[in-house]
Amino acid sequence: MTVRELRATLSAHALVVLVCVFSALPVVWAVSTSFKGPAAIFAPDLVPADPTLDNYRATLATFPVARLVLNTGAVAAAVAALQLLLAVLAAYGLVRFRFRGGPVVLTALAAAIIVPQQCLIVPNYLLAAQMGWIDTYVGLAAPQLAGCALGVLLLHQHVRAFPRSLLDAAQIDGAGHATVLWRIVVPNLRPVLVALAVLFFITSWNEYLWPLLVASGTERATVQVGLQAFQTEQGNDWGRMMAAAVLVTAPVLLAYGLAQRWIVAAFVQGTGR
Amino acid sequence: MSAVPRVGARLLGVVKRYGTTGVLDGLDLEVPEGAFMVLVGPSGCGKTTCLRLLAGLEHPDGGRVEIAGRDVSREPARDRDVAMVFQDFALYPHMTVEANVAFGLRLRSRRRRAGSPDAPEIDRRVADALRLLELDGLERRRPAQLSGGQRQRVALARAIVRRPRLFLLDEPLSNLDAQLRGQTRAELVRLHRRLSATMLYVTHDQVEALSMASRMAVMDRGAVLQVGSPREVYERPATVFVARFVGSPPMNVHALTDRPGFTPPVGPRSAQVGWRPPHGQLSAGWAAAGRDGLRLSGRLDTAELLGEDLLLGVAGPWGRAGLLHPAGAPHPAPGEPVEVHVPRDRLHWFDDSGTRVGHGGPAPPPVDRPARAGGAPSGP
Repeated sequence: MTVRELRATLSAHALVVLVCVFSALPVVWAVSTSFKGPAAIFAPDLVPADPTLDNYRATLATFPVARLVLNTGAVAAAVAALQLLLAVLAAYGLVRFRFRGGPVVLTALAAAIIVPQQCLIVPNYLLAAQMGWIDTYVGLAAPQLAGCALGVLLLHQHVRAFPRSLLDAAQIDGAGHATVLWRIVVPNLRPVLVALAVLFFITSWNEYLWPLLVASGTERATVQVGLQAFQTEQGNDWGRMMAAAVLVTAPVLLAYGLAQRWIVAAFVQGTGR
Repeated sequence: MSAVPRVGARLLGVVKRYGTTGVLDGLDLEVPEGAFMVLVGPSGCGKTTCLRLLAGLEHPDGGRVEIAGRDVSREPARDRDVAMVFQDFALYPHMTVEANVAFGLRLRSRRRRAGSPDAPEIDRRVADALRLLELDGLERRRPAQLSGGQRQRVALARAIVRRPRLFLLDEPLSNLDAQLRGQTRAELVRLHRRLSATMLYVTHDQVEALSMASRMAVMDRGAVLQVGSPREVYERPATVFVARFVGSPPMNVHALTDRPGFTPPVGPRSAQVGWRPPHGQLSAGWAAAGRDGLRLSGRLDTAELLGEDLLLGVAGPWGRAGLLHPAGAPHPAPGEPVEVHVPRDRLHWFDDSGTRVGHGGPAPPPVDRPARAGGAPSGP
């Protein structure tokens, strides 16, 4: 390795490390803060001088961590699964069935992505209220399903680029549309479907405004709404809030850690063909 | 009573348009039962469309599609009992070899069609098909782990395991390298003989057509120009297009001209005359006078070695021609004047429109033309 190559490698690595530190810092800071006593909260040390578990004790005593994580996880999983199902069906239908207005539907889907969600909050709330969906899981999840428009557009491209001869071969083998979709198209689009599922899940998990409106009671509240409880007019309890944030993040990290091998494999599988 | 061959599949006055572009306009084609029929033509001539119409992947805008005497024009692909081998093989990438081959049978048995095989029967037939194509041992592999030739054989196994009425093969050899292609040609012919099935094979390669077909049809611009045995098509091409498309190097075709160096034979003649490169004789330096036939004089332009033979390119005021000459025999150097003589009985005569009118021999034999009007050559 020449000096020039070495320098290039080193500077590339330095950049990567810098980006990693930059994105990891808030997380590390949150973890660090969660172990600090009230007096040390604003102390600028990364490692707490006098670490304490008080924040965790107090949070676990008063804050329904399990409930919130379960609520959010269930809603996000259901939303991601249903969005994926809708997106797959819509994309396949739009590609494989030529019908009048098909292009209009596609354009409308693109337009739906452009409209900011905040514009729809009031009409959605009124609709949900009239349907009796306030403080229900259905009310939490249903409006989020519309977020699959992006997925439809993305999958539309993938289905359109799907090898025509495979579809023809399946048809000659005796497969109808349902069989073609579930047994030929979907297994071969697994990488993009996994990517979309992760994206849908994270988006739904991070949803804040809508859950705040329709599920502010503790029974159906989600993580993001729950964390809000630590910010009060009397001041913010940073220590406990960070302890709560760490507690609700842990299960997701754990789940990702367990599924990581599978997720990465799904991504890689598509490139190996 | 002479046996009239039963019809395996037939297109009758078929019209097919994509948008406003007409691909087929009243095309007729008959595949006799048990034939290895090769449909050959340049790319874009509509041959693959014919195949897709028979497969049920496309539906005609007019006319009829028949398989084994039954009108299937409106039937979906899965009810037609046909199997197809695709140019890119179209193996399901996420399935093993065994699952690829068994897919069609398992679907049918799940749907409980009458006469559909049960699971042990499927396993047995899949194993038989894999053994026939020498794929045993590869059952658990995925297509990505196979060589091109193996993939091609899996595609064939998938077709034969179904025991369909009609096999459709869409340029199945074009993705193989030259050596493997030659080998697979012979294997396909053997397979056809063994299964005694009706096969329609589409290719743009006239060598494949000549070497494999029991019967061949030449297509151009959506029309069938000639149907016959490879020998008939080669020896008595129905049009100038067929004459030049089938055979390599291609037939030389000259419009009759009074330019210097061009001496047509005396007697009956027509607007255009053709001859195949092996039939021209170099007669540089000696007088060809007194012999009956076509005489061309010009200069030797090119000499390409083809192995046993040289392909000599001759150019003159009348145009260009190619002829085969034994590689070891003496021949003039490029640039030197040469004279080419073609015996009269080796000449093919065509009219203005390019339609064959006869052979140069004593009595022009009848021209073999398709029975139906679809083969009418396009006008000038």
